[in-house]
Amino acid sequence: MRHLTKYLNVIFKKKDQHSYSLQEWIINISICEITALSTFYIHTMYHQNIVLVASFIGIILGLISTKERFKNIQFVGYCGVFVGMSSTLIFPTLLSVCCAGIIAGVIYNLSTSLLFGYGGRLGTIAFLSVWGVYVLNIILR
Amino acid sequence: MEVIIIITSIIATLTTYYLSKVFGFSKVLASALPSFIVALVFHLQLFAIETDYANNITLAFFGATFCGMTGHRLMKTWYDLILTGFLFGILFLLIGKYFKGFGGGLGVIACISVITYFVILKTIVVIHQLRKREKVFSRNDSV
Repeated sequence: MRHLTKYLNVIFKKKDQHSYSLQEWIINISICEITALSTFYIHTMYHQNIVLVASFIGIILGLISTKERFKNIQFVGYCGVFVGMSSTLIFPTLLSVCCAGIIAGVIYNLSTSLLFGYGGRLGTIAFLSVWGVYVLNIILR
Repeated sequence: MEVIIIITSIIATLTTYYLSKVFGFSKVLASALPSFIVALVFHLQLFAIETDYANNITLAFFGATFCGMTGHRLMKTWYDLILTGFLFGILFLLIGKYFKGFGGGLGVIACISVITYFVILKTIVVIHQLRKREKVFSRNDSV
């Protein structure tokens, strides 16, 4: 995993800022997955305002990860929230949200320094995963 | 409506940036907290505004907070923030409809606006430097 991250950083001519261990990979992907599923479930099942749900989960993530140790969790979790903001027209089932959450987690782990510091980076990662699963859904239909 | 969305985007960008820089909020909290307050205000229908209109304002506000999440090293002055927020507002009005339903669409618009702003800024700086050099060379030639 570390070699793959370094390879991608070399391709994009970025300095290797941080490469995640296998444990961190699993934690990041599962957090991305949980937040994506919870956001999608709450806003579709209870018909709540998307921004209200997303920001509420964002506040929880922000409050949880006040310690330096958990700092990374809020970002990967927020990325998952964006995945879960998709409508039911894009994701008809929870399985597709699961797939998008996993892809978003993987892209997040691989792109440690890509667009680092630029606003909208997490949203772009989420959009790429959502779009990828949406296209796959169309092809496999 | 367009003007209000652009003003909302600018306010959201400034709020997020200053919450994280001045008050020391984490970037996620600085984005989520004001968005939650704005979404709650429109959700409880404290203002007599149409639902679609209110939804657009909340989405614009939430999206513009991502521009404010840009690193403090990149965003140095207040006009950087205002112009990025302004650019986000315009892009949201122009291409926002194409991302409807897609998660992360607002983030893409924010990313495009931030990158576009820095590309334009760098281009202006390079042009300015080239003009300065030309002036120096022309002075040397005349001497």
